[in-house]
Amino acid sequence: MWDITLLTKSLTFKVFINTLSMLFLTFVITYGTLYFLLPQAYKNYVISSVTEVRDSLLHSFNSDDASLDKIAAELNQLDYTSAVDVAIFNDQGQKIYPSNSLSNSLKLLLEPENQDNILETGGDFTYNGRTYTLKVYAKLSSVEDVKASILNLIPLMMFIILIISVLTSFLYTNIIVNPILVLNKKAYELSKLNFDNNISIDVEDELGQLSDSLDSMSMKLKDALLELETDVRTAENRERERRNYMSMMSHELKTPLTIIKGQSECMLNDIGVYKDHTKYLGENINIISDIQGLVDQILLSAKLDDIDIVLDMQKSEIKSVVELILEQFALLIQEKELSIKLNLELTYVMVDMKVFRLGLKNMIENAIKYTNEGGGIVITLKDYIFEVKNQAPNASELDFKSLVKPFERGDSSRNTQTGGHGLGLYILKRSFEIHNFNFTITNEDDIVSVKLIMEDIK
Amino acid sequence: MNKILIIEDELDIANLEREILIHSGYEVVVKTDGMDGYIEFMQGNYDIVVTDIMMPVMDGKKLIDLIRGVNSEVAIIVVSALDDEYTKKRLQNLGANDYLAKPFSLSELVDIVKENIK
Repeated sequence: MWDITLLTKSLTFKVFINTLSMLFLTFVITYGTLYFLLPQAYKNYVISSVTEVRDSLLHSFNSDDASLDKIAAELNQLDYTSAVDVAIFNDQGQKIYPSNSLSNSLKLLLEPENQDNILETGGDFTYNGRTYTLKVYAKLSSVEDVKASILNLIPLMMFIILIISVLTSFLYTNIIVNPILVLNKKAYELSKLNFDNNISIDVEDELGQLSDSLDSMSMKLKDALLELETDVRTAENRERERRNYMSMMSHELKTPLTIIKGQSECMLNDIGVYKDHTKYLGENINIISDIQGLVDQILLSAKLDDIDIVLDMQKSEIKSVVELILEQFALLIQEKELSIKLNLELTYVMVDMKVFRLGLKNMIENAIKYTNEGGGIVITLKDYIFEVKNQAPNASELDFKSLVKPFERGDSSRNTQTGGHGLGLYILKRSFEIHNFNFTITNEDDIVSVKLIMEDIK
Repeated sequence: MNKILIIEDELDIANLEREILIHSGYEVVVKTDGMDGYIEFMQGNYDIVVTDIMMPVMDGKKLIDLIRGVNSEVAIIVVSALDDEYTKKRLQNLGANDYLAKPFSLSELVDIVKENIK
């Protein structure tokens, strides 16, 4: 079922009805004008014709070279070409033309009942010394005939006018409204953020330009929306990571604080093993030192996460820095009886050495820390690739993709017995990332390999 | 004597809780992961369970869920560093009776245990 209200509000309906009304009215006005003005115009034409014939004949008859042959020729010519009738009378009032009898039309004209519908004019002329009278007649009743004919034609004309109006309006509506409806659908789809609407209109006028503009806007909006969605997702991920970071940091700080608080309470009340104040005060001091180290790492990772971090990039030599770091751990290497195999090339890169050194130090420190006593470590620096390889028991069970996230420690417990706070690999990752260097961590058969790919100085 | 089961993977904290609760007159057993804790709970007859959330093998949420599956009476007190409203609400829905956020005072723990034993 058609919704009449909806139909009457539609652009198609409005354009159709308005066009139809205007066309119909135009035709009616034109027809009415013809009906009222045509009779008067015809009458004026008849008067003008009669006067012209009279003046023309009188001028010919009065001319010096007038002859009977010439007058007869002109009158004959008039019979064929003019809608008027002519009669000539001599000075006794006798009709001398037409010579035999009155023409049928003239007879009719001269009948008494037609006198009101006769236009008559005339004039005298002189030929061979005698005066003649020229009379010119025209029938005015044909004016009324025209009016009657127009009235009779009204039903047929109205029907024709209506058909023409409807057809014209229908064509006009299709030509003008259809492209607008297509554009309307496009705009509606755009409003619903549907950018896959490929309906197009094949016109090159302003509507075609509008369609092209809508297409262009649709594509740009689609791109902008995709970009926005990506940005929102990135922001949501960052927010999730931030909340997770805060939660983990809170845990890392609260756990040692709980131990300090609890041990202090127990010592104060001489409860159980905590009566040994010397032992547990020393333990508390160690825990506080651990918290201090944790706070330093948190501040460092926050600095590396700062998007406004300003790097002091300098051309730096890496080989000597690696050797210096190894010297720092010389005692531990000796204690664990580790064998270190070095293959270092002189390598220059553009880095902020304060930041970059953190990553290098963590790479080497992790290898030393997690290699069993008597194990081996291979450190290579060649072709701008720095690699630290070490034997680490149970390394194949570790998920290094997770371990580079802040506060990740390879198990869900987060207890202090497993060692560290889970920020070492994260700091390593960030210190390389902000230099736009790639790094990989692989573990096969309990051999862990951390590889840093640096950029050549161009 | 009321029996308390402590499930806490942080040994220093577990020892502190055990000492203060023994000192307060309770019988205490300590386990260091969720799975061991659940096995112990099924074997013993405990009045209160004091548990951490983040633990190896099985976390505290799963543990509470399992305990509530077999016992709706025992009081469960959660001790955790996670103290956001979402976590608290979730734990409450799982069936935890009380919540103690780290760093807590041991006297607070004793008070909460006493309340829940009543």
